[in-house]
Amino acid sequence: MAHRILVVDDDILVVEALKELLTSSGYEVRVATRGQEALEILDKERFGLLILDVVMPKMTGFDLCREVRKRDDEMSTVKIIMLTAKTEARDLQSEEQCGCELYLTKPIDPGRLKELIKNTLEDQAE
Amino acid sequence: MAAPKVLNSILESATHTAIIVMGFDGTIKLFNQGAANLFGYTEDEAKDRYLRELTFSEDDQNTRLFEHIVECVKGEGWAEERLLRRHKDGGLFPAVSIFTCLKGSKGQSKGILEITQITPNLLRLEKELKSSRKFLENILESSIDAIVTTDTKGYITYANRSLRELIGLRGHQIIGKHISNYYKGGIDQAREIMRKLREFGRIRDYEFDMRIGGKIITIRTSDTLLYDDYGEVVGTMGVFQDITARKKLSEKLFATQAELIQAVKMRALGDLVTGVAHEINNPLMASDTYLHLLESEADDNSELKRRVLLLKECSKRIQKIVKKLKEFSRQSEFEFTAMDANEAVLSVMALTHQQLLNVGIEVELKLDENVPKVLGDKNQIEQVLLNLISNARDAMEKSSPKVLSIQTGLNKKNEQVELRVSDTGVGMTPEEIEQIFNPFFTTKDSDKGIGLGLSISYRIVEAHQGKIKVKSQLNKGTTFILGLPVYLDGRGRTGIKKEPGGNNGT
Repeated sequence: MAHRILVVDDDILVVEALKELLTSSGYEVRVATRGQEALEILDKERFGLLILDVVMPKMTGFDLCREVRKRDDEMSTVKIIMLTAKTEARDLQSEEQCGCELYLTKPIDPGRLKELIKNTLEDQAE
Repeated sequence: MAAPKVLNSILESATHTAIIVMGFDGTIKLFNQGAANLFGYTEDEAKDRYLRELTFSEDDQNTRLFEHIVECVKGEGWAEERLLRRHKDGGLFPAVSIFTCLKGSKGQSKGILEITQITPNLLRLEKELKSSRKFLENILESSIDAIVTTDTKGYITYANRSLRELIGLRGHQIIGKHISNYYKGGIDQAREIMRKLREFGRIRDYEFDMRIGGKIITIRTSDTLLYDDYGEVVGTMGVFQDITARKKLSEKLFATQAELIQAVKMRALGDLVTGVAHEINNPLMASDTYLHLLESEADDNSELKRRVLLLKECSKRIQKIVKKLKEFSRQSEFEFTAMDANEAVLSVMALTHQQLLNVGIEVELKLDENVPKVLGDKNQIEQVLLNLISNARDAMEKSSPKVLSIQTGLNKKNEQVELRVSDTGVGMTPEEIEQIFNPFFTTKDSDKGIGLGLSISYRIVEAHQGKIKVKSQLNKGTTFILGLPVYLDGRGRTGIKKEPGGNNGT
């Protein structure tokens, strides 16, 4: 069965591109453009991996990540990759405390991203 | 005889005019009523006594004034004197006297006729004139501004105290000197000022340099022509103010202001660039992703594949620019520690030395081993040095010889460690120097740089509260001077070895 991935980014260009990239690699992809929307999807569906943008209106990627970890269902341990376009100083504390598996900065080479996603999902399988 | 009667009557009636007849030796022969009134002696008391003993002041006797009068009378036939005369009671009074030669019936000189009148008004006027002249002189002398007058040819005719102090000479040493002696521009400057004066009649707030001893001082002057009663130009008057200190201060202020403007500009740009870089990263990410998909779908060796690869190159270029922009806008990622400037130079050299040698550049290091530590972020300072070295390398591409020299040392005030990076490259014009720290300003081809290196360096140095300056001569070379604040330990000590009580840093 194909891994399911949820991509959350407020930039529609990014979510559409990632959706195509990951779909072409055989993943089943769902997208959301707001943190709240993502939480609602998680109530109904199950995923092997979340890819979260950091800077989003209302709920940031860090907030969303922490919300996910607080859940009392199996989704609380889902693999999470943070993907940010942030150019300011990195907020290392938030990166560590939010509980994500990987923290990446845009733009990232798509081939490299696919590789990292594959590795992260394989860790899960072990 | 009628005539002597009339004459006697005239003599006696002239009660306010002294009429005295005397021999050439001064013995009094005739002393009229007027003379008696004026001097206090009766005719009898005066007769056969010497005029100068009776009526001259002591001072005048000493000057042999009477002999002088006799000489004039014998020679020119008359003499006019304004003298202080002595009354019988000893009091002095001013008088005007005319001495003429008394002729006998055959025209021979027989003696002297004196006609004297008291002149209180004339003397008072003279006194007033003197005191008002003194008053005016006082004003000129007391003026804080230096005042000088010259004749029409430029020779100094008067210099007040301030001017004498300014030039450092006594009055008599200045009078008669040509004004151009003190102009840095010499005679040409003097002519220029005179030409302006003749054209406009006056000059206001004209600035020029004066040469006094070995020193050059800046003067602001206002000058006018001087005229005589007939409207003829007789000279010039200049009022000089020494504005050397003021000018230096305002130049310093101007420089500080320029630095401030530059700093504010850089900060605003930093904010803008952060926003722009962030905005570009998302579409760039999307575009890269589509390119990746296209690339994997295109057949090898197809035209599509070639074009996709070219697009990827473009994308990489954009990424590089954004990365530079991010570096430029990075503000808070500094880790300040006590660091050794020499070590920074050496570790940068370890990276670049071979590369520099490969392109024929000779490297000279003059590192002062005694420099104290500076407060800085080693990585960032190394980045600045790398940037300066890479600029130096590019500047020397076509030069000969190619020498890169890096020097460290304390600045004069012992508050900064200076790193000097000099090259023997193409140098820059003053216009280029002015813009050199501006983002996106570059003198290089577009494949070598996008004009952010030095503005990033500027920001880094600024964050260190340091200074970065540049000196350059076209076709000779460029020197960048990097000043970093000396590290102070917890007790405010610098670790400068020369400093009494200082330690060797940490």
